[in-house]
Amino acid sequence: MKDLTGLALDAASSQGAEYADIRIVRYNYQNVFARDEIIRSISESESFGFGIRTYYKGGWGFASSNVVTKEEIKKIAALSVQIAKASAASVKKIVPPAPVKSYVDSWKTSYKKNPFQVPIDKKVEVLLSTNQEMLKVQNVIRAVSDLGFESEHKYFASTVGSYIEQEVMRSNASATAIARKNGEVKTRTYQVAPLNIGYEHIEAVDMPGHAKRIAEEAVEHCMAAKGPVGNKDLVLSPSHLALTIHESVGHPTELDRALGFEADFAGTSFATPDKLNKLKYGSEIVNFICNRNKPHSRSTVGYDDEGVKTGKYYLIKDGIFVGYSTTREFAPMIGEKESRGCAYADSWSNPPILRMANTSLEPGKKGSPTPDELIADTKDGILIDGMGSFSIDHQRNNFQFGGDAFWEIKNGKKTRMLKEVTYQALTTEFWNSCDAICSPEFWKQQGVRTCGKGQPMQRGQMSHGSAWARFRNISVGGAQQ
Amino acid sequence: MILSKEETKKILERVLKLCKADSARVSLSGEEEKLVRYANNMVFTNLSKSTMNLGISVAFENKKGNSSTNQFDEDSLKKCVQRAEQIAKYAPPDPEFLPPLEPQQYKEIKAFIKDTAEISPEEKTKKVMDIIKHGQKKEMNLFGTFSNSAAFFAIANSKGLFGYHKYTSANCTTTARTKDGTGSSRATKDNRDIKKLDTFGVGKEAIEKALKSRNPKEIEPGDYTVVFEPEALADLVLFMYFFIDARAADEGRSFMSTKDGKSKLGTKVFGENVTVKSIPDHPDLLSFPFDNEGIPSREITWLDKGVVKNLYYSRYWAKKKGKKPSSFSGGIVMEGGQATMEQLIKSVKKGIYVPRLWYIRDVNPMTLLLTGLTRDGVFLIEDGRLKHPLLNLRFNESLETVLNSITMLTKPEIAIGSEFGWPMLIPGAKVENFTFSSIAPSV
Repeated sequence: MKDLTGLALDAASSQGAEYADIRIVRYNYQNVFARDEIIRSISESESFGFGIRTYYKGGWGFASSNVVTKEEIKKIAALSVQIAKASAASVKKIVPPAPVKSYVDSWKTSYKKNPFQVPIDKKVEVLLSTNQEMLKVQNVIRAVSDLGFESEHKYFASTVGSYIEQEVMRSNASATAIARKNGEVKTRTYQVAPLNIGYEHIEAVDMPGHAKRIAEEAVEHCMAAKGPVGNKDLVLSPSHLALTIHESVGHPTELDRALGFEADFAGTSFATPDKLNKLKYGSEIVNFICNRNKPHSRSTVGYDDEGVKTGKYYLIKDGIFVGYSTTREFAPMIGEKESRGCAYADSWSNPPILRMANTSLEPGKKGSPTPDELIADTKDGILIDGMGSFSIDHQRNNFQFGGDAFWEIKNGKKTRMLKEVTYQALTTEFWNSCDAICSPEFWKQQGVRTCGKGQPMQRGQMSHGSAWARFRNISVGGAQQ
Repeated sequence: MILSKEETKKILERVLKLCKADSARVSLSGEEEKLVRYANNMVFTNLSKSTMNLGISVAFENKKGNSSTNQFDEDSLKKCVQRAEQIAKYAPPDPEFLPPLEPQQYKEIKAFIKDTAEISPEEKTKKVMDIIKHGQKKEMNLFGTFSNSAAFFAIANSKGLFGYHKYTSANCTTTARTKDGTGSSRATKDNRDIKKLDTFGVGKEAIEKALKSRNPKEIEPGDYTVVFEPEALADLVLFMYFFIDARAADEGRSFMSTKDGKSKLGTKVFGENVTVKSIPDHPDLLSFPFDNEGIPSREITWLDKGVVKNLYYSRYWAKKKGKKPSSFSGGIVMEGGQATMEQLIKSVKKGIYVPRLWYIRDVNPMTLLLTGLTRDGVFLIEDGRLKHPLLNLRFNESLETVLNSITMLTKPEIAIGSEFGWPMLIPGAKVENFTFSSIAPSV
């Protein structure tokens, strides 16, 4: 590929580009979807192409094509520079991108079993046996499950001299039971954490082994009492907290949003640069760390899509807002000297945009409570597991979340299942109400695979880890009529 | 890449010849997309994308396999076919499998405008700069996009069916924010013909509204009469459109099912003034002549004066229930009234004007209880006029209640909601007793 990447960079430079990079990427996807006892779809797809990004006098240009030939690369490089020059006409004050070192390297996701080499019939068997187990439970009217695998083989080269080859492997799965009883229809999902890993992940989680439990909980959900209206303490599981973290911490601390660049679409942020190192985002036990090096997390890579070596950094330390996720384009706008490696493009056809890294709540110190102890210590609360309805305003202040399953906690005991529970809060009020986080052995990762951002819209994928945590006196039931 | 009908047919026939399966369905699509994105009064993303994709579905009896590729050399096409056939051989039989459709007649929908496909990056950037310069004179920070695309979509199958459709679209958006950060407004327009797209007008509209939206005040959450701009109503109505699957209704697991699990087809669910149709060849929308399966698009009335007149029938469910299969081809039109937006506002004693909604999600899919927020320029209406801007609000309201509480409608116009990005023809509406549950202190 080096001859093709070199050709692109030479072509862009000869047209006047001050900087250029190219990504040549091949994606392979496999998806298997089962409904009840039928395999409804098995599909495999590939996508191969390149995108060239150029910089000229403060203006950026990007052009891409699926025709990977020398002629096309020269044509697209020239088009990218033409576009960068057109953009430069709008620039009043040039803020050059943060410098990046030159790397010649390769990096690969660590995995044991290539999912694409695992026979289809094995995957079919996992899904059908999972569905069969769910359908054995009376009042389950539908069972669905799926497996998904993605591989991404990327060559990146830039005019600073970098040439980086990376291979990413992704695996995910889920199963959902739909039950109908007493005139209610409710669901319960077993969401396997989407990770960058091989098929060993699917084998380790034992989907059929979880099927009966989720099917029974779906039926129980139909018969559950309506959730209360008022203020309650919330005990939230890692599989639930992942989405709350994503929406109320990951997005507000993306620097492009904080600087207004997403105002026309995804929205901006209340966490503006003047609040850096001042805002009490959460209680003192709240620490949020981003890490694109953590093995198997969904956005873990060696280098981001601008050729920046990835690492880890704090967003919130001891409750104080201390940092942003950044890219080369935006870091200098708040005086930072280097990017934190958060550029990501969901396809060769799209330009890299700023994406939150794997963003996680650090667990409590050793000796912090276990989930059982946390429940035992809660007088009047609600336990929420899994992801449900979610909505947050465009500056990430006012949010409302549901969940996948809810239980009442009374006098330290998990008593009965509830339905139609939602909670609503302002972001900083919520994180400041966090008074307990369980100990490190209860820290787990979940993830988001379809985060929409950018124009044209791109799909982001990242992990969010946490231990069980408690939030005091949160408004619940606001959605009830 | 944009291919002609003849070029497309040649590729699809070549692929079908490579198939050894009992039956096969292939699709080919391509797009040239160009977009200028600006923020804080300067262009920051400017791009040109060229994509093309081939999808294959094959079956040996009722064992199916799917694959796709974006590479078009002989070897890649062969591998793509082989992948689908390999999968089909290992796949368990699908009792719901239906063989490909017989050849169909498709109405031609002329939705490709050459000028839209050919505008240069320089010309687009210049139009954006005209908006930015105007905004700067008004001390605004401007954000938005100006995009144009040309695309085609074609299908063919082993029974000789072939369909080809070519179309263009152009869209511009402007979000205007006041320098002090207390006011914000957004305007957007969409047209197949770029010459009919008044980009400067869109920018001007956003700027003028943003100037009026500064320094919003709080209002106590509760039930209010609300005047929705067409863009806001579009998002709510489209939610209904995604819950019209006949099978889900018949199987008792949908908003379109009664409490005892029966379909609501034929029953009155919404108010008399709610009529929603798909008119794929409507001259203002020019949607698709066929869907992914190859089913010809046709006019379908979904809701007629509040009665659920039709639900969406897949080929399988239509066969089972003795119905005609539906196409899922857009062209959504909601009938309106004769009032103007000004008349709607004038008729309100105390209420809230909502130009746009944001982050709408279902809280309960069985009742279509929805939550979401207002965004970009909400106003208090008092004694028939816009009194002052308001801080944004979160709502929790069922769509059934909304569509039973419309008391006035404007003439429909083309609008694109925030959630789904589909242009539709839809009126503005006055809705009674709409429930806001909390304040969102975000501008």
